This record gives sequence, structure tokens and C-alpha cells, in this order.
Amino acid sequence: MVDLSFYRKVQESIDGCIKCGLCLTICPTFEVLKGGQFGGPRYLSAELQRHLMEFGKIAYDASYLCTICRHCEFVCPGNVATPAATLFLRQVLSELKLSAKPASDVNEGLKGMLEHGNPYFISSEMKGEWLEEIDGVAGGKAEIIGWVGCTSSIRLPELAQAFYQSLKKACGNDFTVLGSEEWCCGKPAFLLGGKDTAVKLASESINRIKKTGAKTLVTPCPACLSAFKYEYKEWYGLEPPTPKVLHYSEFVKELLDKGAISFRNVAGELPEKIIYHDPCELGRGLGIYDEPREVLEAIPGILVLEYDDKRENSKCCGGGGGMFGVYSDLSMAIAARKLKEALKMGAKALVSSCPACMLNFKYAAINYEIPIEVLDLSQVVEKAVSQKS
Amino acid sequence: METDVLVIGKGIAGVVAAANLAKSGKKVSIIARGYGATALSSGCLDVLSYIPQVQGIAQPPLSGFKMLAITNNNHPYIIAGEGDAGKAEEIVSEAFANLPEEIKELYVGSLESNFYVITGFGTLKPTTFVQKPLEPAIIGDEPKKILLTGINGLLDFNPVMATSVAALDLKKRSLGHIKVKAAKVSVKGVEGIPTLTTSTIASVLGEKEAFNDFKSELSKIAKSEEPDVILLPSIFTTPELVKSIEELENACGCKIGEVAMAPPNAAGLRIQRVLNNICEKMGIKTYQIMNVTPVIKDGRVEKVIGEQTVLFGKTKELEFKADNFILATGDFISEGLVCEVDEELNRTFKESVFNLPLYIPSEYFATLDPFNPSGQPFSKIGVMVNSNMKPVDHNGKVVYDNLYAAGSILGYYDYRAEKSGMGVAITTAYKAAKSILGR
Repeated sequence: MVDLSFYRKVQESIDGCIKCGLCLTICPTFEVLKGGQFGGPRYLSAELQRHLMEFGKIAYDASYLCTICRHCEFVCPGNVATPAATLFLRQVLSELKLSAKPASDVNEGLKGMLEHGNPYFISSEMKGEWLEEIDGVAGGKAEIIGWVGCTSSIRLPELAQAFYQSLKKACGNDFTVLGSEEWCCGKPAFLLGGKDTAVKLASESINRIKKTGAKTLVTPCPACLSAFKYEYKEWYGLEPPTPKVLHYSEFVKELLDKGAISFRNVAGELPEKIIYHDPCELGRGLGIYDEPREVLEAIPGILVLEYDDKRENSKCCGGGGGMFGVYSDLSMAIAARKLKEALKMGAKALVSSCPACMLNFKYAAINYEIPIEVLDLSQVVEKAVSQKS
Repeated sequence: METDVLVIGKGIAGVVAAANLAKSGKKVSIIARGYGATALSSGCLDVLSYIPQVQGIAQPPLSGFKMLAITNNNHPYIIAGEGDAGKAEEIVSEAFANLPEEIKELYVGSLESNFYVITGFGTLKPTTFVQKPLEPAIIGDEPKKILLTGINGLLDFNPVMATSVAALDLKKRSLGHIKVKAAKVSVKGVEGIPTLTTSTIASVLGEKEAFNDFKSELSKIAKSEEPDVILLPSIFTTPELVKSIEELENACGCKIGEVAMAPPNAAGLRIQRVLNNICEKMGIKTYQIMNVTPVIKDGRVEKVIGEQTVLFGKTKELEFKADNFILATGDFISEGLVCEVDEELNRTFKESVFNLPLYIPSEYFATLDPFNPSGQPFSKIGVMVNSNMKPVDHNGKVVYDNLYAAGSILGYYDYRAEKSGMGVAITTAYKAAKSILGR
């Protein structure tokens, strides 16, 4: 059911809109669509919500054109929570079980997620293939559990493997993963408006994590992380699966500070000039800007470049908020702009610390034939890490 | 989180105060909620042009301080000068001399004179410093032929209307040596967009092909009209586009500039970007905070608790401890000040973080003429401070010993009517920083 107290909060925040248009200057979708069919954040929150009935079909087309990157929320002088308004719209649309696209696709998607335990509708065995390829071991009891996430396990085995191997090197038998047994954290369902589906997925994930007896959970995926850290408690009424949940960058930084690992020179093995992209969910969502940078800067042999718009002002890759699933062409068009900018600045590789960003960037680089390597932080770390004896 | 000074607000007042403190070795953090009036402004650094109830323009700007000290000795400039016009002039000069280099690089102008620039509505706005892309919009002594050039489909800038307004305003102010004419140019790829904005045009012009096409269209107009200056709407939003102005000038054989427009305005976004970069460069940590609750202990601000939105209206709390606090939350636009209206239409004004005592003029709330030269009473509502920029109550008693205020949150002045917004913000921020440093 749609949460009415949430609705009231959204309504209140919308009244803060002063129609200044600052949100139009930073919205990634608005930039690429040039405002044609999509009126931008202020339209999505202030105008659409006030006249939901009159807008009809336009409402649900527009509501899935938002990447929930939260950049608009961060520049808004009126404190308008456009991403929240968007999510509210999606929850309403999901409740209505509409038969037209894209709502029908979304409803099908939610059903599939529940059945397969991942948003890619792939069998459990296939989800564990990345681990088999490197002869890794899943399950068992351990202090630290590595939560790989669906996108990494299924679409980005190179990321999943680098994540596993780097932490295995650093933590040995204290570290385990679930492999094919890993379930969906529930976040994609939640973002698409299916809160009930999300709760079911979350409960199952908690059960599976609890079996390992782990005290700390580490994940390369900011979406999973924010689900474990906040959404489970605030939205679903569930406790986090482990007492401590950390992003990969935070965990590596901890190991580095403790002196448990060190980095060797990687000159010649990795592109010399890399540019760091702040994932929206990690940066604006969780406030993690420094750790990935500090980890990268600690690796000898690479030079870390920065975008003009970085940290709080980082531009979205276009792959968030479920948009990659609904309008993947648009997602890639947004990513391509950012890749071209990186190329102009002389970067040979783009490093992100979010699988959703990496996937979108990777596909965009191929589709738009942009000669730049796309890497995750874990791949860079894996190359450089060596255990302190 | 623990820091020496916590600044609340990331507009020009907040960042100038933070930068001055960081330069002197203080550890500073900023908490802010989105962008405020600085990003929405014309981007011009107004110091002082009009004094309410006094005819004409203050020329040079600081020459108006003697009159200000007589007509309104509670004005933040005069307060910052400890009640003395001469000292106020000194502190303003000092504040501008100590501006971060990044801000200085963005501007042309000096405290020695005010000048007029043409705005997007065709009006003449007196100001003291303008950003470099607006330099061609300055009305100087030299005769000039200015072509106000709109972009087809962009409703926010109407060159025909602007030209007729400008012609009248120029005549009224005896500036007949400046001629204005209207023109329109097309940008490929934005035809037929019903909601065309300057940011869309900017993003299209970021592509080489569209830019070259635009350049050749513009040079055709320049050839047939032979203007000294072409003024475009505020489309130069990125540093790269600003650099491309020179290329346009070479193609057209005349000066190319932009006019200050209603928000979102490129100049406002440029200064906000510079402010963000200054924080980044000086190691001033910034946090996006939605609501702030202060904790008071023994007459001092002990800490503030900030509510951070995690996602979808859900929040987590962050604690900020500091020795000193600077309040630079702005006025009604950024909700540093709020007005609550009850069912009987009674208005209550409040300072939104510390609930500080406010100066509220005893006159009516607003006049029917929005551009009343005497200003609007509501504009003068704000926090009262002593010469150290510490908020005081109606008896002049300091409210909290380690709290300072700067920028448009201050009362007793109307920056819209005076054209003094950025000047007051920079000066009071500098003074607050100076007080904290004990100088």
C-alpha cells in the first residue's frame, strides 16, 4: 500500500518549489532529451503531482524518466524532494497495475524479481558462475561476508571476481561470499515502486546472510548498501542483516589504515591516467566521497583526474533509478556525454565504485565507440593489493 | 564532527567567511541545504547604488556611506564600520581585497565606480563588478551600437521588448550615445521545443557542429548589422562555453557578451560553481543538510544537529560541534527567514535555525509597487547584530557569545532597492571571520 504519511511529506516539500529552474540546469535526462517530452524535475514534482489526474499517461512516462540521482534535490533552494515525489508516483502507478507500457513492463519485472531472486531473471546456478570460473568457495561461517550484488554477479563477472580476490587476499578465511545462493536485496523492486516485492526479497536475503554468522557485510554496490543500511529499517521495518555494513571503498580504506594491506606500483599494468566518477547513490546518497579517492590515491603508478563537476555536484551516469531497465538507450546517451568529457580531459580509463554505473558506462562506450576503459574500484585495487606479511 | 568554525549556508556570505577563516588556518566546515539566492542572482557584485529616499546613484559606491550613516545607521555596512562611515569604507575595501583569487578572476570592475549594464529585460542596472562575459553589456562613455540578439524559440529573452525598454531607459538617463537594436538567431537542434531553456541551448552548443553553425549564423548577422557589441541571452553556463566567446568574437568582428537574466542565470551558476570549487580547494568540508537544530548550553551554541535526507524523505542525524558558528542562511528565498501566516492572515516572521530576535519594521508588509524606489518593508526584516557581527536582541545584548551572522539574513537594509546584496554579504562575512580570528 502507498504510505499516506509519506504522501503528505512529499506534498509539503513540493510547496517549496519557487519555479526558479535551477533543477533544469543539472538534470541529466533533461539535458539529453532537451526538455522535449520531459519537463524536468520541477515538472515531475511540482507540476505533475498537483495535477495527477489531468496528466494521465504523461505521468507514468515521465515518472520512469528520472534516474533518482538526487542532483536536483541538492541544488534546490526550496527543499523540494523530487526523487521522493517520483518514487511516490511510481508507488501509485504500481498499485494501479496499469496495462500500458512502461507500467506493464515494470509490473512484469517485479513478478520476475520475486521468482528469480534477481532483476535479470537468471537462474541461481548462472548467478554463481563468476565464482566457479576462479575456483572460489561459497558459504560457510566467516566474520566478514562479501555481498557481491546481482549486477556484478550476473553482468559484470570481472568486477565480482576482482572484489572476491582482493578481499580474499586481504582477509583470507575470515571472508566468504554466498555465490549462487545470494539473493536480491530488494532495492530494484523498491525503486520501481514495488515496496511489497522489496520486503519479501529483503527478508529472504537476511535469512541467507544470517547463516554465515558474519558480523560485517562488505559490498561493492552502493544500492545494496543503502538498502541494508537505511531502507530495511526505515521502510520495511527489518533489522540490518549484520551489525556493520560497509562499502568496499570504506572497508579497503580501513584495511589500509590498519596496515593490513599495502599497494604495489602498477605502472604499465593499468592506464596511467584515470578519472573518478562519483556514483550518485554512493556520494549524494551515502555521503561517501573521500574513501574511494583516498584508496585510489594510495596506489602508486596511476594519476587520478577529477571532473569539473564532482562530489555533490557529480553528474549522473544515467543508469540509476531503474532507468537502465526501462529506457536503456537514454541511459547510455547520458553516460556517453560523461565518457566523452573524460576523454577530452585526457583520461584513459573511467573508474567508478558502483556496478550500475560501470555497466551503463561499459555499454555506452561500446555503443558509442568511445575508446576508454571502464573499471570498477575493485579491479584497480585487485591489481595493486598485496598482503602485508 | 568537530571543527573550529561551522558555517551554515553555502552562498557567497558563507563561503567568503569560510575561505577567510581557512586561509588563517582554522578548520572550517559548511552545512547547507541546496543552492540559495547567490546561484539565482544576476552574478553581479553590487556594492551600493541607490540609497532609499535619496536621488541619484552613489558614485563611487562607497561615497554613499556618509549619507547611509545619516539615514540608516543600523545598515549592516555602517554596523560593520562600528557606526562610522569612514571605517565602513575601510572594511568594505579590506573585504574586497581579501576575496579569494578565484572570485577576483571571474570579475571586472573596481570599488572606484559604479556603472550600468543592460539586463535581459532591457533595463539598466547599476552595479560595481560584473563577470567577464557581461563586460560587453557595460554602458561606457564611448558611443556603441548594441545588438540585443535573442534565440528563436527561447521565450525567456525577448530582444524586441528588451530593446524598446532599453531605448526608453537610455533616453531617460541621457545616454543617447548608446544605440540598441533587436535581432534573432537560430540554434540548430532546438527548433520546436516548447519549454526551451538557456541550459538546453548551452548543452546543444557544447557539441562542435551546432556551435559552428551558430557561429556562422551569428557572423552573418554581424556582417549585415555591423554592431560594436552583440548581447546574447545567458547561455554560457560552462567554463568551456565561456572560453568559446573569443572564437565567436573573432568570427563576428565585434564584442560578444551576455545579459543578466531571470533565473536560472548563467552568471549566478558560474559564481556558485566557483564557490563550490573554493571549498573543495581549501579543504572546507561541506555537508548537505535539510534541517538544523541547535543545542544551547550556558549561553553558547554547543553544537548543531543536522538532519540529512538519506533517500525518499527518510533522514539520519549528524552532529556538528564547533567553537564558533556563522549563520549565513540568507533571507526568504533560501528560507533563512520564514513567514508563517495563520487563518486570520496574521504574519509571524522567524529566523529558521536559532529563532533569533528579528528587526521587523513597524510599517506595512509590502507596497503595491514591486519596484518601489524606497524599497519594501519586508526586505528589511532580519537579524540584528553588533559590530562583531554577533546577533543581538532588541536591547543590544548578545544572544549567544559564539554565534555570528552574515549576508542577507541581516536586517535593516533592502538589497533589492539599494543594489547592495553581494557587497553586504562579502563585507559582513569578512567582518565575522575577522571577529572570530580576534583581529
